Amino acid sequence: MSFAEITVKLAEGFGTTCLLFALTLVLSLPLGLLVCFCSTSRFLPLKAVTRVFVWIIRGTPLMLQLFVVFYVPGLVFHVTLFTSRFIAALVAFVINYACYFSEIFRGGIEGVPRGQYEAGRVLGMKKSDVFFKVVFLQVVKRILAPISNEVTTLVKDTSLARVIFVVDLLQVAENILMERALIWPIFYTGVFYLTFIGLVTVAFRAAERKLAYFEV
Amino acid sequence: MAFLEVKGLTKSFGQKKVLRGIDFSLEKNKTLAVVGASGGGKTTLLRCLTLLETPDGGIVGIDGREYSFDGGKSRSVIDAELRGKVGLVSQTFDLFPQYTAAENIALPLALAEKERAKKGLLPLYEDDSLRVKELLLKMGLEDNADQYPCTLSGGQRQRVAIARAIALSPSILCFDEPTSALDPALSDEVAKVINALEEIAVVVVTHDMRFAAKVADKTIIIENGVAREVKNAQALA
Ligand SMILES: Nc1ncnc2c1ncn2[C@@H]1O[C@H](COP(=O)(O)OP(=O)(O)O)[C@@H](O)[C@H]1O
Ligand SMILES: [Mg+2]
Repeated sequence: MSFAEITVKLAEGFGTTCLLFALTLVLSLPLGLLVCFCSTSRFLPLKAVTRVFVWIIRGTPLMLQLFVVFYVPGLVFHVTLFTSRFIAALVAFVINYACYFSEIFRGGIEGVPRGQYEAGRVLGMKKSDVFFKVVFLQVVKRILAPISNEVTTLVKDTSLARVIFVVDLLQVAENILMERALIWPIFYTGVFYLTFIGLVTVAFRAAERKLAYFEV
Repeated sequence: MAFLEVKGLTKSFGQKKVLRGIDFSLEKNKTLAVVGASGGGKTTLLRCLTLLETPDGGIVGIDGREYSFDGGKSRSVIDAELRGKVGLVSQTFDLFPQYTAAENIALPLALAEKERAKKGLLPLYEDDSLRVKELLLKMGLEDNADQYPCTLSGGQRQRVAIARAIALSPSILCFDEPTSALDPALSDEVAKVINALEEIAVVVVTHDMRFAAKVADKTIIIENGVAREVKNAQALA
């Protein structure tokens, strides 16, 4: 197999990796905000249940969660919940990352000084205006760095999907190793990951620069 | 009834009775200084007047309207009516960091005008952006209009906070320790700005007796949760 052929093969696996990454991000960010609102709810049972759930998700390996999502519905409830391994992996990733993001959101929102909310209130602003016109951008600025860390980790975590047989970038390389006894494609995947992470880093740097005009 | 009339205002936090029945009155275009030991409840009084805390009891009268906190009228009704009537310049100024000086003033004003339009009320001003410019000029901030709070000095931030509060044309403007976050040399400047405010009653909380003597037409001291008028403020300084 030529270098070009291998590159094309790996690119197919990389497509799956990118899709898992992008869908996880798009779905887990809003879900994370929802989880954040639940975990700070004044309705105590909801708050307690959410916090315990978040604790469990953050306290167990993502790999274990992948196994649970993929196998437990069939083993325990005798239903095939996920006909697609990709969907099963996506569900596990979204739940896992939503929980991590929710904690970051919580920290970001709680970090905005009370005075900002109170100034808005005394100036007669509606609660929604205070949140969206005053607080929101400050929260975004506060959480940019921790979110960027998580997103970088997500790029690499996608390779865990292999444990439930999703054929991602690394799995394609491993298949080549098995079928053709070529080891270098495995190392070649590092170039794909590094390029991807490079782009993610550049994007977050740009966002940070865009918000550098004010201090929180 | 005086322009601002407070009668029997009480506020507790749990078991702790902070305000045990505050009484005072203040006329328009006058300034009241509120002095007293730290932890005595001065900030709490301002927070009650601005409804950041709900008083447990008592009456607040502003410009001929009375708001009773003995049950009666629901909090949300009082909230809606008092909205924008009592302004506050807090100890930390609390400017919105992502907005310029001019935008800090313009944003709450624009939102207030929108609310007024919704209720069928006349706008506060014909031209809001002109009003913002006037206020910046009045506060000596004409060259700082496009600066973000992080690039302003403490005194400038405070003047933006004052402009932002008076843009809504409140009846009462409250200051919490206006000299505490500033260079002591600036306290005369602050006094000048406060003395130049018009068509408004001003309540200034301070622990600085000299400053109180400079700005106040009347001084009260809060002790054990009640207010007592101090006839000779200079003597305390
Ligand atoms: N939200 C609150 N919860 C509990 N106690 C409070 C709260 N706000 C103020 N207090 C208490 O009320 C007392 C008066 O505080 P404050 O009004 O800040 O005093 P001052 O401004 O005169 O120094 C203090 O003992 C303070 O601990
Ligand atoms: Mg105080």
